[in-house]
Amino acid sequence: MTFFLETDIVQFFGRFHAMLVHLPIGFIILAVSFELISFKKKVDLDLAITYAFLLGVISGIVSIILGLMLASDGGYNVDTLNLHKWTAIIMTLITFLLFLIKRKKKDILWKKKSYPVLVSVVVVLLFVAGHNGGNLTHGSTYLLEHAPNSIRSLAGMKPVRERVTVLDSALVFEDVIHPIFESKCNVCHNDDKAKGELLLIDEESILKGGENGEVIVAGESSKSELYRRITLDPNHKEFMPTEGRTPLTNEETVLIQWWIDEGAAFDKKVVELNLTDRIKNYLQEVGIGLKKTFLESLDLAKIEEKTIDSIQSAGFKVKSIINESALLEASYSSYSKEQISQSKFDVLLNAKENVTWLNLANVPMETSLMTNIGQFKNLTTLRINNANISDEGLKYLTDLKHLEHLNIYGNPITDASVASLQKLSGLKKLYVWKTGLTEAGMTKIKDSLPELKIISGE
Amino acid sequence: MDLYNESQKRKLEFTTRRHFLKQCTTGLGGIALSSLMGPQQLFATNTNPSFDPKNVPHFLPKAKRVIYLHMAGAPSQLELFDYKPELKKLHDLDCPKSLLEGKRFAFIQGTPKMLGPQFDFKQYGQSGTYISDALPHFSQIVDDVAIVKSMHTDEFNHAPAQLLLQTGSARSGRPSMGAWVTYGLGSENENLPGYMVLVSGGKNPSAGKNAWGSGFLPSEYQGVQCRNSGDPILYVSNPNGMSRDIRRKSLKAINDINESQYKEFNDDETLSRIAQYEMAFKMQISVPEVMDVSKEPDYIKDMYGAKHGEASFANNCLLARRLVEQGVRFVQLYHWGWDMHGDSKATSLDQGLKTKSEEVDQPMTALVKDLKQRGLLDDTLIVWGGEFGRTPMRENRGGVVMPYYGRDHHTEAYTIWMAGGGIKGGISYGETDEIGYYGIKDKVHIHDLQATILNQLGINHEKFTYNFQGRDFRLTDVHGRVIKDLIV
Repeated sequence: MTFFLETDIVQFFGRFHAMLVHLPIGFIILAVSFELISFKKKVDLDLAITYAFLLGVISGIVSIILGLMLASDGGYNVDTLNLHKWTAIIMTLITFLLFLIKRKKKDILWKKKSYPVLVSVVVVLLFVAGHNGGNLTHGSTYLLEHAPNSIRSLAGMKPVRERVTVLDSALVFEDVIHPIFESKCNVCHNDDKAKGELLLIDEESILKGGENGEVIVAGESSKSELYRRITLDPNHKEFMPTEGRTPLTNEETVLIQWWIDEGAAFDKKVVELNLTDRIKNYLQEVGIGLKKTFLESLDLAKIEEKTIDSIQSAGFKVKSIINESALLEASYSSYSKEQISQSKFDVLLNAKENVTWLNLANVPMETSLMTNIGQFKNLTTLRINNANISDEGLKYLTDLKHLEHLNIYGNPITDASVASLQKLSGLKKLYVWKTGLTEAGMTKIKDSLPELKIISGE
Repeated sequence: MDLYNESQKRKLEFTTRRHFLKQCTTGLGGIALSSLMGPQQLFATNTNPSFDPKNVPHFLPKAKRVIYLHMAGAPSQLELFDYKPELKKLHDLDCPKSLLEGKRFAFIQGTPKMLGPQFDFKQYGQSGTYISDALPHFSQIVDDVAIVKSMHTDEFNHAPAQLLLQTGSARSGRPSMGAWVTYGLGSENENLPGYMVLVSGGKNPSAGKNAWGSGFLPSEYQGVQCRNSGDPILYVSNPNGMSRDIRRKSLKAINDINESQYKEFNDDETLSRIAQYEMAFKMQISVPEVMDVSKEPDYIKDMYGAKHGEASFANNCLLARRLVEQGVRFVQLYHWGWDMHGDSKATSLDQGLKTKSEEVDQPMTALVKDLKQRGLLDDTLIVWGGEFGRTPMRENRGGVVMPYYGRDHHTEAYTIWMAGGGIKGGISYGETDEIGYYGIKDKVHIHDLQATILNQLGINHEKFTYNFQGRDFRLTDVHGRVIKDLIV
């Protein structure tokens, strides 16, 4: 008998409620459907209907017993629970009555009249009990969580707050912490199902805490029960979210820790708190403060297959930088037996807006051809090392305002190119190993482009 | 593994439970099931990969190539990167029982002694990173690398640990990281294989060529191993009397026959075979050229310490640079001989490890510097490390004192470093306890490392799958988390 004493046998059986409860629903809907079919098609389905009602009653009674066992654990909203319980019990009783009426063939007038009314009542009760049962299990907001705002307002719910994702105006609780609670915690800690008597839905409920007291100690994550529970070993009995639910990600955990340590504020903006680079990174992980890069801001049409094919047959290797992206990377192989020429560039220029990475390393380039490269306005990376490019040739690149990486090592370039390079305002990295650029020249470039890193080799 | 064994293994790989149902004469259950489910569903063939390689990159890649420097045998983190002054104080004291209970080691028995670090450490660079005196060159580039001190693995023997690291599974038969990557991203140069392997140190790694196999991926994605002397790849040059024209014609004839075979049987491996013949033909020109180190100027050879004709790590590092420069996607280096148990002078921490460190220190440093000055470090990811770490205890094989200082295999904590390819420079990630026994902060598992490498290449490791034997396989199996803190 120790087996029964040591384990919570009531809960063990109680949890089967959620599974078994679907049987009476099915049987009763089946009986009602058969009744409609027999009415419409004029066939006799009375025997089937009788037994469907009986099975509905039997499975209903078992479900009610299991349901009472499950509810004994507590943690459910009392009003919702009572409504669910009593609608289910009354429904089961009426179903039993329907079974009795159906079984006795001898029709009494009041039975005949009241039968359709009772069937309708059972159907209504079935939906009320079922819906409230769902609310108890999943939370009352579950059903309409992803409903359009028009439907939400019909149901008397708050329209979804448009989440602010701009770093400067996002609120730390509303936009960062609350969404984490909503997605990972509030299935169990909501109005209808406050497990451990804890709700995590708003400021009031969070500060109130649960059956063991407060869960958050402002400024001290190490003393906060909530933080302790989400950082335990996942196999620990007290780890949250409990077994089977998706745990918090490392980023989410760190953000909660940061929020508590920074005073667990509910009305402050994110920027009013102490922001380290790590936190900024993690905020981006949950969608706050993402900046669009230049490439993301480009909205270009894809180049047609046919054009891509013609570029490839001209000797270029070309492919999307991201799968399905309109942006392209292109390169010309130094293995190619054919010299690069104006006619080849003419083909590649059909995609001049789309090519953003261009690699022409080790491909000898005539100065006259350099004017072509200057036309790829959206270039961010250009590799033209060891290509015999002169100061004169480099002048053609000065319009490439979005160029971030420029590799011109191994070219006969001198300080005469300083002025050209200074004009590349977007430049972040410049590779000038084995060129004629002097220290003084590089210093000049750096003076006008302070963001720039120049790599000049050993 | 000889050809016969390999063909047996191949055959077994394609034998599934379905073959059992098909062939078993008493498989009545199977027959009954087949009538219920429809024959196509039950006896589906596995020749239709659900995955289209064109799905990658999933997002903007930071790295376009990888050079993986695998130190086969597992170097000691406690002598090279993970500075533990506390361990020095505990030197020669008995290891506390609490560290041994419930643990299994490859060789340690009974109660071993603690062993202090055998080299001194100093701080280098703006980051103030501690580096051992055994790596004087490497200490110059600490501001370009990220050192991960909290690596851990599941396997304490070389071959399974190497397989886990390279293929994501400790059992043989899975595709290696390089095969996955080239399968997804292809090669940047159609004249060279996308995945090349160079071995030095005297022996192949214990995991053998399974460590660069293609597993269930089409076999054209397996690593191509190059030799350091003679033909870089066996039989790459034409035999006497065979001109390039005749070779071309005979290959055309073979490919035509293969093509008609493919039309008849629809076996994807036939296409692989055609592609391999074509690649081999191109490689006859491209490989001898790219593998010829003698074309490098002397100051570059000196920078690496490369000497013509040697099967050295230095030559291989220089070759690795030449290969990525030509657009090879994944270059895998193995340097064997780091297994410092202390049973001989060559495997002692104070002498053997010093020799090994000298072999790799200058070349690996030169590789980072050379790629940097050529502008290739930005989009080439370098990873350096072994398959596991070494114990803070001195090895006592058979319960006796060993002739030299050595350490046993250790899975709980070890160090690797990464550079380039969008990895932060000048940082240390993760921490171990005072004696380097356990990772205590930001632990990184092998699968996390693999997920991070794929992430740098623009690949979401959870979406990058291949359907084989009825299920979708991934490099990281069902594990792995991208280490965001390592990324720029």
